[in-house]
Amino acid sequence: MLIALGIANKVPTVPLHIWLPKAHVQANVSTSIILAAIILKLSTYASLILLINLMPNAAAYFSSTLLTIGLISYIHSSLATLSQIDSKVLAAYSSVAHMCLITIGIHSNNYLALVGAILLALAHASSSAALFTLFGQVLYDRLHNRLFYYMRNVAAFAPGLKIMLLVTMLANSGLPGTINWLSELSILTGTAATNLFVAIILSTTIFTSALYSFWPYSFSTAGIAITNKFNYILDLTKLETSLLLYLLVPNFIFGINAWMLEPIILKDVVSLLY
Amino acid sequence: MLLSLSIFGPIASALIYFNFGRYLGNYSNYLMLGLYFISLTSCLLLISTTITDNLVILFSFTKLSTVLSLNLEIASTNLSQVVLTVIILVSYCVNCYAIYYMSSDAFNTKFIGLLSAFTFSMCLLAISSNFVSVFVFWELIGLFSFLLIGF
Repeated sequence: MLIALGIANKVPTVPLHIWLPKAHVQANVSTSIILAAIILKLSTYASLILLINLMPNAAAYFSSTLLTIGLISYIHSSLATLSQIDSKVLAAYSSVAHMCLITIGIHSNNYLALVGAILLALAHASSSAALFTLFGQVLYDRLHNRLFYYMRNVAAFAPGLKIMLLVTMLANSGLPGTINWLSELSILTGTAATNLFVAIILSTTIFTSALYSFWPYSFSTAGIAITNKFNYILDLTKLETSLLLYLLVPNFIFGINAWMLEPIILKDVVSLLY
Repeated sequence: MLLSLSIFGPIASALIYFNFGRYLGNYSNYLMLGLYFISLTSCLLLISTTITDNLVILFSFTKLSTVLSLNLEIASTNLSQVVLTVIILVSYCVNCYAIYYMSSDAFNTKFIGLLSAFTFSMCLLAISSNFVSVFVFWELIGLFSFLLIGF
């Protein structure tokens, strides 16, 4: 349980999640990409190795506690995104929500849910990295600001930026065809097999993830701009476009052809069930 | 064959508008109307011939395990053909109106392309015979209606 507490600090789950948005706000782009895409995934790996693999009995004993903590922090963080005015804090809270979904998938002791958790770790690595690139690099470079109030209708004269914002938000919210969708669906199906109550509450994920993805999109592409400097805003450069495509194209490719991932990661999953 | 022809019109016109709309300009409107007319006639032919339910697996997300297999299945039943005809007919009229109404807009080809893509996802929702395909095309409808509202 103490190890679970240590991992819960890293995931992060609800009473211990305060550090993540603040770290994301203060960090620069590359640091927050590494933090969201890699370091948070290490907590997934640690809970797979330390909790499930090393001490399956303890994990089975505390699974209901961990599921409850995961559910509470999932609902809290997905609703907390809607009251944010800072774009990087919103991205941080959305990554908290995804990580809690992964935690629920791991601890519900089902083949499908476990596979979905691992796939969601991969999917979230790409989609959150693209989100932080957009908010931290692309928009911050142009506006020198992170607040949503100042990016109202920023993409009116930058179609490339608009399209990449849309694709990133779709990947983050789980459009059919991305790995996010596939993994969320398999986590839902897997938890429904073991614990129906958790799955019923968890099915709000489809709604809330769309909420916190489309809210910033509509904020930054619609409405009346606060300054007419946005008429001369620079569209995406080639470097930024290639970076975003490099992050997002694998998400769509593996989402449609999920069988490619099967021999790579799904081999040892059965041995992790307790 | 007729079924694929009837859903070919909206998706083909959406692709034309998105890819070649800026080169073709207003000529793409005539192309779109022709494609919709083909769809409408094939729909009416489908209704007039009573056929048994034929199931088509449109696309198969390869299964993650034996437990979860995701297939996009569509089937043409008599009810779905009636709904399909209504969708094509109404959106034909809507597109005719949109050509007139949006003609002063600079991005009118993009708007009508979105409208055609919306029609396509509605058609596939009408003929889907599987919860997976209902879910997928419902999401697509939500996406395109969001984009149309925010245009």
